[in-house]
Amino acid sequence: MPIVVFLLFFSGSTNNTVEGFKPVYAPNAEAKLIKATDPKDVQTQGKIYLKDQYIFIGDVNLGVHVIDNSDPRNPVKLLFIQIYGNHDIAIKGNVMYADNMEDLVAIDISDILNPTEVNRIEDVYNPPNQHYPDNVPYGTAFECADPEKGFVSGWIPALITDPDCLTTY
Amino acid sequence: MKRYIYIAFVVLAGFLYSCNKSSDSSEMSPSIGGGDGPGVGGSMAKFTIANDHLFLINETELLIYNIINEASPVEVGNLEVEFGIETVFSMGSKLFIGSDDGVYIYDISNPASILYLSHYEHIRSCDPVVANDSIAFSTLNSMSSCRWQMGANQLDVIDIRNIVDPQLISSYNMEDPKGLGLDGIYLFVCNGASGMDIYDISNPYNLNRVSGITGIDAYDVIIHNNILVLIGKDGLFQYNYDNINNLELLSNILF
Repeated sequence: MPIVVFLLFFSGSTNNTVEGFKPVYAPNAEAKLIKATDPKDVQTQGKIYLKDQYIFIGDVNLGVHVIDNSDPRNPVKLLFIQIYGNHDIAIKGNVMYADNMEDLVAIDISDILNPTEVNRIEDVYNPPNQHYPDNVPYGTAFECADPEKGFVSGWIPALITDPDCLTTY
Repeated sequence: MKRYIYIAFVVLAGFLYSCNKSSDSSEMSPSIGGGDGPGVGGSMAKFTIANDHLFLINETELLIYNIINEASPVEVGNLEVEFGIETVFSMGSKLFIGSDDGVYIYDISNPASILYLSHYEHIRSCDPVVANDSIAFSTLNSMSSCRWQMGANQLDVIDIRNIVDPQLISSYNMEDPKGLGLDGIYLFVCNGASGMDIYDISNPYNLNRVSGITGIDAYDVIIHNNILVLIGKDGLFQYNYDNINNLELLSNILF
C-alpha cells in the first residue's frame, strides 16, 4: 500500500493542534511472546471463532479474548491470549494457529488457561507496518513512530500538536 | 491508491436444485466445531481448516499446511494468487479465495495438489465474489477510496452449479455489507451500522427480507447450534432465532 509519510516543517511558532493518532508501543521482547493474561476490555474488535464451548474474539494486532460460552445466556470472559500482530486464528483439536507479526504460530490450548507455543514458522507474512496508522483517511495527522521506544502494537486517537507526520497517497 | 475491500461469502449446497445433491454436503456434519476436529470460523477469515490441512492467505499467496500432527504443521503447497486477497473459505472439496479482482475457486480434494477450477470476475472493480456447489451468496463492500470510484456495496447471488463457469443471478444494494451466515432457508447478512438483515432465500431469484437486527453495528456472524453469534464495534451478541420474526437476545458482552 503506497502510503508515504511526509515530514512537514512549520516555520511559524503558533501551535497547531489537530485530532490524529499516536503509536502504542510494546517492548520488542514481547513481540513474539505468546502468553495468557487476565481478561481485559476489547480494544479493536476483530473476527470471531468458535470451538467447543469457547468463543474467541480477535483484538486486532493484540491477540484473542477467550470466552467460556457453556451457557450462551451467561458468557464469561476467561482470559486474554497475547499474540501481537494477530488478525486470524483457526483451531484443530487442541492446537490454535495464529498469525503473530510475520510468523505463523501453533499454540497448544489443551489447558485453555495456559496456552503454550509449540511451533513457529517464521516469515510467513510480510513484516507488519510499523510506520503509520492503517484504515484512516488520507491527510490524517499522527505522531511519528520512534523505533527506540519498542515496536508499534497499535495506534490510538490523540490530539497532536504541530504534527510532523501525515498519511497520504 | 489504497483500497479496502471487505468481502465475504457463504455457500449453500444442494439447496435449490434437488438434482444437485452432492457428497460435499455430508461434510457439514453437526460435529463440526467440537472435539478433535476444527472449529468454526466466520466468513471474513483468512484461515480455514479442511481435510486435515490449514489453508491460509498472506499478502499474495495461498499457503497449505498439513496438520495431521496438529503441533507440527508442514507446508505442502503454495500458490501465487493475486494482490489484494481478502478471504478464504472452504466448503467440502471446494476452496474459495476472494481477491479484489474477483474470486478464485479451487478443488482441494488433494490438498498437496490443488486444482484451479475457475475465476469469477465481477464487472466492477473492488468486487470480489465467490461460491460453491449450487448457489453462493457474496457481499461486496468497497470502502475508502474505492467508494468514490465505483465502489459496490451489494449482496450477490451466484449460480455455481457449473463450478467452472459461475453465473450471477442477482444483486441487491446494501449499505455496508460484511460477514454472512446461512442456516436452511435463512441468510444472515451483517450490514455495518445498519445492523443485520435476514433473508428467506427459498427463491434465490428473489430474496425476501423477513427480519433483521437494528441498533447495533454488525461485522461478522457465525451460525452454530441454533445460536446466532454476532460481533460488531459495540460488542458480542448472541441470539436465539427459533422465531425468525422475533429474535431473542440471549446475552451480550459490550465492548
